[in-house]
Amino acid sequence: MVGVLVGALIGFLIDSFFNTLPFGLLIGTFLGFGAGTMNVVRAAKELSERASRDN
Amino acid sequence: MADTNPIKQFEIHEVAALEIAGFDLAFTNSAFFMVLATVSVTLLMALATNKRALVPGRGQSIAEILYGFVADMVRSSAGNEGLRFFPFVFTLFIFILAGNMLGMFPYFPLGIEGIGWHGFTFTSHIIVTLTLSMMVMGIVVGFGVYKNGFKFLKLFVPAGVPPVLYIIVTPIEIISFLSRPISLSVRLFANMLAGHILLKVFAGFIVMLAGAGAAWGIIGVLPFAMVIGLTALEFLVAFLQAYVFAILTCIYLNDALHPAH
Repeated sequence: MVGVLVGALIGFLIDSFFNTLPFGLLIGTFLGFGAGTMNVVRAAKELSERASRDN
Repeated sequence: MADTNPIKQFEIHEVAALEIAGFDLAFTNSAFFMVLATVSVTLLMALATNKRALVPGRGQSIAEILYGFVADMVRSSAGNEGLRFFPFVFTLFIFILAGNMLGMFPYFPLGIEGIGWHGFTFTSHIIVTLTLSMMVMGIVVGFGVYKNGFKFLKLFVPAGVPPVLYIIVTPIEIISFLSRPISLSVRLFANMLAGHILLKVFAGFIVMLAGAGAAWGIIGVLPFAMVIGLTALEFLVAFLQAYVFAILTCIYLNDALHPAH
């Protein structure tokens, strides 16, 4: 969830540095979405591994 | 009528003024509850462990269960090497847990001038949780670089990925790493904030209905039942969020110990 915001922020910072709005913002948002999804998948994997180890 | 403002509980009050080099470092009610949490935990641990009986008594059992609980958590997420971080994780866990639980006192009897009877949850302020999570990330980065050197950067270049995909995967990994301290702090802060506001709102309904006169007071039973349920739920959340914070700390520390996944 937070990944999207962080990605968008980084993209926007790159934009304001190189003056390339809106491309950095767009790419950053999509990458952030990917990062957020990956975080969720990782957490789920961690939890299922833990559950299968306990049983 | 009683004050039913649900966010009044988060106000910061100054207890003792302190100014160093132009910075306002006043001792506040927030700081007071942090000291209270630290002192009560230290006292509990000191009292529980001063007998060191072979067959533990009540207090010693609590201390031993807490120790075993956190040690298992560290060992299962970060391995035996992770146990060197046990003191850090244990301190974090018990500090947040004590803070959340002290926050469950609606009116904590404080005999201090300027505070009076007062309830406060320091973990419901994002500056506190952000400081804690930045401390965790600082240790992860600092120890990761100290132990692995440049290999720590392997964290951003996971193995087993086709080389072309690194153009996408590396930025994603970097963003996911940078979003960790934010999601870690926001999770704890938002849970405590929302839960305590909800409690106050429903408790406020009881007062409002009682003040409405006539038969309205009878309907006040409904929000009262709700408040009882929510209080139990808040105790669960108070424990769970401390646990989640600690276990995520362990998982991040695992990255510092073994950056190549």
